[in-house]
Amino acid sequence: MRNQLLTLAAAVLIPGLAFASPVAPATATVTLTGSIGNACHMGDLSSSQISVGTLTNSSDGTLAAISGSPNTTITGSWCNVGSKITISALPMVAQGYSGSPPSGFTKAVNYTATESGWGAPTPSDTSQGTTSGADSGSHSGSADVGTAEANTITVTLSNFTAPVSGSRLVADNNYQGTITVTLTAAS
Amino acid sequence: MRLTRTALLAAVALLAAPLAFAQVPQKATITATGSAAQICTLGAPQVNVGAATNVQSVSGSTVMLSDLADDNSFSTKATDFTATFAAMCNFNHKLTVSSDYNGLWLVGGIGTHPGFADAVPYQATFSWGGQNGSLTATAASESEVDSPIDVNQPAAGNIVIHFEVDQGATNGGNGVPLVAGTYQDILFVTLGAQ
Repeated sequence: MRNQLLTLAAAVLIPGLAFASPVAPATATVTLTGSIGNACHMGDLSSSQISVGTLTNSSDGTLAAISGSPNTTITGSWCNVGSKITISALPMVAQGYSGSPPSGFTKAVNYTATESGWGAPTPSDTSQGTTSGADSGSHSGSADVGTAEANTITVTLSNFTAPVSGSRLVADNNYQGTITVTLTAAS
Repeated sequence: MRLTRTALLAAVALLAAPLAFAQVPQKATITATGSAAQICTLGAPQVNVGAATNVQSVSGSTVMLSDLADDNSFSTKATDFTATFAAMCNFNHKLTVSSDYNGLWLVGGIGTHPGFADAVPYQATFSWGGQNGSLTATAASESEVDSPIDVNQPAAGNIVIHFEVDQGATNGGNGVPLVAGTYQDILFVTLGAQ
């Protein structure tokens, strides 16, 4: 609108100049700039729990063979730049058993948590619980993904073991372990 | 014009704000869950006959004594043996040792036998899960006797039960001769919830 008014005004004021040399149109250039920060977004868990079911062998109380591949998925995750994905696993520990169990028993079950679906390679981490339930140290698995990614992340549990082979699990209806998946955008 | 620039700058600032927040590492926390049922296991008794006194043989869960009565007095002959049971409980539990008849009683015995006895008392001491217990079968009456102990932790290993019959012990008094026949008791070893 402003430009139109200017143009009309010029036509009224300078009609006699119609025969003069043409004047180059006035131009102005405006450059808009912006930036997008490196970012990642963790999507939604299909379930925040992975149920492993019964852990004990009913014949002797030792760790049973866990059937299937217990897993959950995280949908809608993305990183707009290369990223690092990290996974860490803490042992499944009997929540209702206080103190250390007697010799020959364990209150912890170890396992390997593996991430897949977010580039390659697929990182994994194995919990390092002792029979008393404590995790023996800081540990995690990670992988660097060089490009932007938007995908579904799957976390699968496998390789269930007792801290000491042949040890029996203390009875408890609530064994729990924590798996943490972290997405970090490349800086 | 200044107003326009101000407006543009404000708009850019608003758009950039969420991106700055998203650069914090993103985390998902998952909980793995499972359960371990309460389980007790109990194996068959094992008796070392060679280390026993007055034990003839063991067949399955039956212990056969060589001679319940002394050849001369016809009263009770001293007997002892140890039975072990491989066992496990993965929770706080109870061990109960029971005598079905409260002593070794004459099988099929009818009526009284003046001057004779028809039952033999004994003691059983046992250990399990760091606890000790004992059962005294007095042979005073033919009825079940129980001796429980609570074990307040999981346990695995052997239940060890030592049986001991004293020389001359009868329900008719010390040294009283026994009526001829077969004598029997049944012991129950039970692991279960408290």
